[in-house]
Amino acid sequence: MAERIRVATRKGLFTLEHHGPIAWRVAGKSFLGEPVTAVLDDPRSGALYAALRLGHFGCKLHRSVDDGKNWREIAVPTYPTAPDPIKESDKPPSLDQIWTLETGGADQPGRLWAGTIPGGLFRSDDDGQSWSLCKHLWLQPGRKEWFGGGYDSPGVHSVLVDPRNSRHVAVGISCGGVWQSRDDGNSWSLAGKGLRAGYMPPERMDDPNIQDPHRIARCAGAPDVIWCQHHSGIFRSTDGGATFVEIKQAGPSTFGFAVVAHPGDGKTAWFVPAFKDECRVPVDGKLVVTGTRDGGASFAVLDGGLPHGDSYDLVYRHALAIDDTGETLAMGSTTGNLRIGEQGGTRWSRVNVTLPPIAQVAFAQSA
Amino acid sequence: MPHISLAPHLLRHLSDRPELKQGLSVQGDSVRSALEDAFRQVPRLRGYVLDEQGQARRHVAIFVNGAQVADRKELGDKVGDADRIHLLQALTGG
Repeated sequence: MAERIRVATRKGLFTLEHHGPIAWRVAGKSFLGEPVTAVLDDPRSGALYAALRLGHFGCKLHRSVDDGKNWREIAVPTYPTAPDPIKESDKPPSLDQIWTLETGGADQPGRLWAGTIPGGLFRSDDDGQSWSLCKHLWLQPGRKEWFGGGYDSPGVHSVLVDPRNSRHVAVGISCGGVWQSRDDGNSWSLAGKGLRAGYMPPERMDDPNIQDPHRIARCAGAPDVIWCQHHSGIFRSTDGGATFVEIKQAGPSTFGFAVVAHPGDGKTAWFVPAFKDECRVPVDGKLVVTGTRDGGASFAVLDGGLPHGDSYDLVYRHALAIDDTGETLAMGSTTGNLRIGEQGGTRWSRVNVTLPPIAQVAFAQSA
Repeated sequence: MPHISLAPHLLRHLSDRPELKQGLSVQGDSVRSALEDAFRQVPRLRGYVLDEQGQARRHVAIFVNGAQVADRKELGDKVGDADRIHLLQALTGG
């Protein structure tokens, strides 16, 4: 089991460590008071990255090579200065949020991916010292149809590097569907057939380009399996995201934001349901996690150790994580609760801290 | 020379330059040119005041002699040698 958890919150980055056999405690704090929208440990270099969204002074990216003791501000992705030719707006786009950070493959030292709002995907090949916009994706004519989901503008929130071939990358965009590249992000094609947008007019529901996949997650051990927690339900792909099949029953609700895939078993995944779009709290105020071990044919409601009522935690798309063993989960909520789910999420316990609203949780190895 | 003062809220992000507490003497005859000289002296300041399109960030307020500048896009307001420019966080946002 991983021994550390990074927690990116509305007011700082926290690192929790084991303290005794089951307890966790805050071992490190950085950027206290500042919104941290993404955190990334890069096991290839040992560096730690934190993306900030300063309310007044814009987005910043920081890098630490000593586990967060000291930070150095590095370059942020920047948008082209020309007016947006796709959205046909006179106002050039500007970086609003770094929504996700991911490493490239083990064979791509220095490569990082940054998914951003308003909809740009950026690549770095020098550990974040410089960034380049994936122009082919940015200049897709279909981007004109993308729109915001949760935020005012579209955003790239999921970047999945294929462990079999690091040049293969899939991204999830709210609301712009699922896209794939097979050449390091130089060219892109729209995937995600089978996703269904219940919020759209009937003639547009099946359009892959306007889907809102809240989060997509790839099984590392079965990389053609990609799970999707969509605005309109749960979907699963067995062909690397080209097509998805809807899973219509999953415990109390199929609405939610987060999903994690088991690292080895392509039939196992976990979700955190909320009631529905118009009421983003647990069904009946009872926080549960749902898990399937048969590819979505059936789901178990995992509520051991979770509150039985009057819990109004919402778990954002990056705030559910699983460790490398596939046995331990971590879950952070917008009400600042952090919970650890042992034994495949069947035994939950709340970490005895009250944190700011949680944007992301991620397991990390000890320093 | 025009003088630029930075709000404490901004200074804390530039803590590696403690001398900035005294502000900056800059050259320039407009808000834009004065800021450009400030950015020449403190390159990292640029990204805190302007977005990548060169416009004042939405939640940054710029004052000249106590009056908020209206032209936040071109930053063309004129400034003279005795003028004082303040860079503040707006009270919205954040």
